[in-house]
Amino acid sequence: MEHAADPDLVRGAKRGAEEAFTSLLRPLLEPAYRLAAGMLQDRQLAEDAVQEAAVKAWRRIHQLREGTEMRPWFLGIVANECRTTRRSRWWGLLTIKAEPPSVEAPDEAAVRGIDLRSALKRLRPEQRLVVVLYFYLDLPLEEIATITNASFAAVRGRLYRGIRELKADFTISEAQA
Amino acid sequence: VNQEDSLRTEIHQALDAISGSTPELLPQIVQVLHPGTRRQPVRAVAQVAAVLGIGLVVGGVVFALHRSRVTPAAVTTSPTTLVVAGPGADIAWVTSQTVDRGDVVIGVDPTGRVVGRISAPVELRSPDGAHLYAIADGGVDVYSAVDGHKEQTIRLQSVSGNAHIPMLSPDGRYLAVVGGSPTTLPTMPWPLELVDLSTGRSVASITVGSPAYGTPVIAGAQAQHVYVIGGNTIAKLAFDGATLRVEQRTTNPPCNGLSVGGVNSAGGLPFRVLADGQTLVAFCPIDGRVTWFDLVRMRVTHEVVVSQKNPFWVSPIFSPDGNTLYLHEGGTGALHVVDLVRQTVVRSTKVAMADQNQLAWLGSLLVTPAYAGGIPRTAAVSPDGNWLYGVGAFGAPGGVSLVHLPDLGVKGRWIPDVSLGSVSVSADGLTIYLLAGDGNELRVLRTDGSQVAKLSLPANTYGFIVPTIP
Repeated sequence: MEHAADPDLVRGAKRGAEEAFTSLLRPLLEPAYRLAAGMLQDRQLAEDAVQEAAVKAWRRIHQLREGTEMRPWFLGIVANECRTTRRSRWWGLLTIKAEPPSVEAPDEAAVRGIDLRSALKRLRPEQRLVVVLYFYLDLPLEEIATITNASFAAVRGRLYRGIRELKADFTISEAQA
Repeated sequence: VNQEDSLRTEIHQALDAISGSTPELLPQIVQVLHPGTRRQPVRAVAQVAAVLGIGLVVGGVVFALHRSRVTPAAVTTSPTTLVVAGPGADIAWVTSQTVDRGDVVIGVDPTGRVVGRISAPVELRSPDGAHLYAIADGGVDVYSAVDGHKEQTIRLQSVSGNAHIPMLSPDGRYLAVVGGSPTTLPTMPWPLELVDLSTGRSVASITVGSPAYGTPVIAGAQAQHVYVIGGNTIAKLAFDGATLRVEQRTTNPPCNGLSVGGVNSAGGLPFRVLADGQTLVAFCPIDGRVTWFDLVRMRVTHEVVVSQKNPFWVSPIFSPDGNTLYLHEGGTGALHVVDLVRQTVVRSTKVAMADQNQLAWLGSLLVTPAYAGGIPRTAAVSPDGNWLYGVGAFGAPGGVSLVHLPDLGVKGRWIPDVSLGSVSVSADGLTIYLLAGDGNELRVLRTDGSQVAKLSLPANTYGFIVPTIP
């Protein structure tokens, strides 16, 4: 795993050095944002979730043991934050992007994208998390198991079931040679 | 393997379309990472223990001294900046409907003294609060908000009769009115007339062919454009200083288009032209939809629907800078904050305080609250934009909730034993006016919550005539 935490930076962050913490955090913001965007499918909510997760990580940095991986630890916090964000949206906000009327046929790729995002939304959260981590962040199953605090077998099972449900909802084409 | 690769590619494409490039997040994160945000566990445990200990001691003392009611902490909402308003802007004007004399408008000053009465159907108030406007007998009557005396009557050329929908320009210089005549049928086109209030004369009129009951919206410092929005049509008219000319007409899909109400259609004017001068934002009290409409391209550009138990009773209140819309549901205390620039709901919360019946909103579905024909204005924002005063509990006591807008925290409550329906804050921010009960009682409060006066009003009171800022 490529994001092992630098022990010096971890020690510095635990002593309260913001620079050390931000150095640890900087390379993780892109995968964190992509994870949140994939889970929430909303840029603003994703930004808020990552920001909140960063604050929580800063508060909990003392829990990070030296020598452990920073990326799965932080992405786990982001995943939790996404769950909290979804739960807290009790008011049922529905955002509609009003598309201008068009005389052209809709772009087939765009339509497939909408269908796929809808299918992802219909997955159970724990399945969607594994699918997003595996297919969108291209993470290995071992690291996903660490992020989700689940066994390797459990992660593999969620991924398998997630793909099966996606297939039921969405036709997956063959990759072009 | 092929299917897995294909799915990976498609998921990347589908989610990249949502996420875009990664925004610069670190600067915002660094801003909130001050040392106080992080606590060592031992210190945190000690702090919790200390707080609990103090809480036990304080709780014991409070319990020992407890009588019938907890006195709320004193909260002062004085404006942080001096607000310059027009003469008479600190005076509240409330409309009542009487059996023998029709509409009567009463002016009350910050000391609780009645300063004037107007026997006319006043609908609009200038943005600076200094003038009141009533349309009757083919003319626009202009009244002083200082004492209610009639300053002038501006004759209308085309609009006559009592069926009309008027609106001011954002700066208050122009007044547009769409109206019929005594012989006009609702299905016939209604004329549009434009009045220059600074010169006191009607400057142009046209029969636009728009449906009856369309709402006029004026845009531009010289009223360069007037839009008539209603039914399934939006008409765009150009004004060159002398004549009105139809520039464009477009069909407005009734279920997915723009819906604007008039000045009395909701508990607050439900639309606003944003500072860019070309975006109209409107709240629809039927379905709770907020619509952004591009006045140049003549099309809806964005919509947000905030699910509410009953949007009809929601008060749409705009911030003084026009960049934020507060949707306050008086019966439940729900408050939705819509950022009009970012086009998103940034926060939904509850601002009602204790003692409210959480199922009170059900009552509105069964029995229409008796607000005498007017929709209660259950929220008002202070002119410095720092405070929102929220009232309304479907007849139950609740007083005024004081919401500090920078953090949306409820900081206190005034007169919690009183059932209130509508609230208005004076243009200088120093006086809060409240309609209590069925609207037949006016209370006047200072910004420290102290009550200055309590007056009886005619029974059927519509509500406040606040500055009209479209």
